[in-house]
Formats: sequence, C-alpha cells, structure tokens
Amino acid sequence: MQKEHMRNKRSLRLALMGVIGASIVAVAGAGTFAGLNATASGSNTAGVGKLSLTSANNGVGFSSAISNLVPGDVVNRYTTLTNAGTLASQALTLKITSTGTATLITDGTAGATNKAITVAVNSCSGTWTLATGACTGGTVSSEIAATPLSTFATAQSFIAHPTMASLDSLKLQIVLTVPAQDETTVDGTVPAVTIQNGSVNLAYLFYEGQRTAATTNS
Amino acid sequence: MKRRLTTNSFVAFTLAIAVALFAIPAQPAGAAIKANSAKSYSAATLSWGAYFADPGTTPSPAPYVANWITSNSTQLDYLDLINSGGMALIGATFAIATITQGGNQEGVPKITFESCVGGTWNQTANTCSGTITNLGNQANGSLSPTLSVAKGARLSVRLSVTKTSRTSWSSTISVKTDRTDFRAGTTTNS
Repeated sequence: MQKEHMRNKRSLRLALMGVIGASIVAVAGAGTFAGLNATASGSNTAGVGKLSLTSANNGVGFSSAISNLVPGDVVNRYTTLTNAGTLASQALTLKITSTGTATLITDGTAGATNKAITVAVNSCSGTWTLATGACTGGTVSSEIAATPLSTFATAQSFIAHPTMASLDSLKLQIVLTVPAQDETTVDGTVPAVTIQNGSVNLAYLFYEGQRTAATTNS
Repeated sequence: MKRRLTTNSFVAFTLAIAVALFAIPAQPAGAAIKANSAKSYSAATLSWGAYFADPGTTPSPAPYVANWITSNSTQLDYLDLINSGGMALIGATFAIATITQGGNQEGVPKITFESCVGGTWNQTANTCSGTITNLGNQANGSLSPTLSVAKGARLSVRLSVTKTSRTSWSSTISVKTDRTDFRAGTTTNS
C-alpha cells in the first residue's frame, strides 16, 4: 500500500514536470512567432508570409571593382532588386559600409578640401539601356540623392519607391561619383590630405521590412 | 526525513521552472519580418604628378636645380620630365626660381625649355631623335606647356640660356600638376 502510494506520487511529479516542460516550449514559441503565426480551423487555412530580397546584376553590377577614378568621374552600375517573398514590403533602405581611404569616405573639414565619393540611386520604370545609361520606355525616379559614403553608414531610405509588392522588382542605377575637386601635386609628391591613390570597399546592404500588419474582418 | 527532502526538491524545481517562464526573453508579439540583400565592390582612385630628373636617372622626387656659370656662349642642360602618376599627363606647370649667388634676381637670363617628342636629346651631338617642341622660356615665374606624357614615361627636355655676365647663378625648377593636367572626368555605364 505504502509502495503504491509512493509510485502514484512519482507519477504525478513526472506528469507535472511534463506539463511544465511543454508550457515552456509553448510560451517561448508563441513569443517568437507571435507576429507571424496564424491558426487554422475548420476548412479555412492561413499561412505566414515571408520576405525575401534579392539583387541581380544587370550588366556588370556588383561583380567587378571600379578602378582608375579621377575627380569628375561617374560610374553607373545596374542591379535589379526583387522582393521575392510572398509579403509586400516597406521601408526599403540602402546602407553602405565603407572601409579604406578616409578621404574617399568623408568630406574634408578644418581646411582639408577633399570631397568624398558619393553614391546616388535611381530607378527606371522601363529598362535601363546600359550602353547609354538611358531609361528606355519608362521614367527615371530618384530614390536616393547623391550622398557621401560616410552618410551611408546610416541606412538611407528610398524616396520614390519605399514599398514593394510581392514579386515586384526595382531596376536600379547605382551612381558612384568622385566629385570634381583639385589637388596640386608638387614634384611628384601628393598633398598630405589627398584622394589620390585611394581605395575604398563599399559593402551595400539593401533592406526591407514587412508591410504594416493588418486586421481583416471577413 | 528522506521523503521530506524529495518533496522540498520538487517544490524548488517547480519554483525554478516558474521563474524561468517569466525570465525567458520571448520575442515581442509584433516582431517584424525583415529581409536584406548584400553586395560589395571596391573603388580606387589614381594619382597624378611629375618631376624633373637627370636623364636616365630615377631619384626621389624633388625640385630640379640647374647651375649656370658665366659664359659668353649658350649653355645647355638636359633633363627628363618623369610622369610619376598613375595616368597620362596632358600638361604641367613649371615653376622657375632663378637667383644669383648673392640671392639677386635682377638680370638673370631666361631659360628656354624644349622637349624632344618621340625621342631623346643626344647630349653629345645636341640633337633630338624625335621632334623638337618649344615649351616656352622664363627666368622667374611659371610656364604651363601642353604636354603628352604617358603613365610612367619620360619626356626628354633641353634647357638653354644665352650668354650672361652674371657670375654663378642657379635655377630651381619645380613641376606642379593639378586637375587641368590630366583627362577630364567621364561617365561610364556598365
């Protein structure tokens, strides 16, 4: 009798621990996916959408380095950004992390006159003609105005097309410019503060967030 | 005794689980879905610059100093303009400062600069194997001739002065290159 009582208590303890363990998993899981989860009942089904942002080179795109730049040079590269997910997106931004020669990243201050590389982003509702840089069969929209690399350390928002529908694409022109500026080299010696012989790596990060959550009644 | 210990352990375990339930940092209910796409490339700039040096030599960049003597005949000096930058030069500014031994600039003769395009000056025969181009003359001041010197190339130059009654004097010649001395900016699409 005593033994049976003990066995019952052990079973009760195990059952309680099992319930508690299941609760932990349930609560933690619910928290993680609370914004995305949907339940299905009866004959209705509901699924969680997903976002997927892809970038495909149009022409050279991001596939090769840019070299031999001088003040006044402009290099246009092209890429197609696609929201490949099932959800619409918003808050499309571009962040560029730049590493390398400081004078190419940040405008000069306190007497230094160097002007950093700028990047601008345009979109074309038609097709970019790579040979000329013209937008054929559509119009050009300025997404991000020419901005020094240092400013891109903070993500810059797309102005004309901050949102993308599912499977929507943006045909982008990335405009890299070395602003017109002058430096005098004397007897082969470049100035102490110079943009000459500089190199910078630009890591582009396009970013999108999910569309605003909606409440529907049906 | 043994039984009480087991019961206490169970209570402690249960309490710990209860605390853990509140402590687990669950994602906020409104957690958003995000997506990104990362790409990169590098961008590099060129340099521009030039300096004078004795023919065939490649010293450290520095101003060139030509020393002259008192003579009734024409004096000559030969030098190379070295393009030390990363691209072709289409011009340069020669800054010339000529002084006598006593530091006087009065009455110093003008120096004539002549390049030998497509060839070199033969110092022995005083002949140019290419085409002679007059770059101008100056005693004190600057000259800004049009040039064509490829990246890493040299332009053979002859300096000449006419007779002078000055005693010992010298000319220091610096080469300045700025934005006007190389190609204009271009726009490329690729």
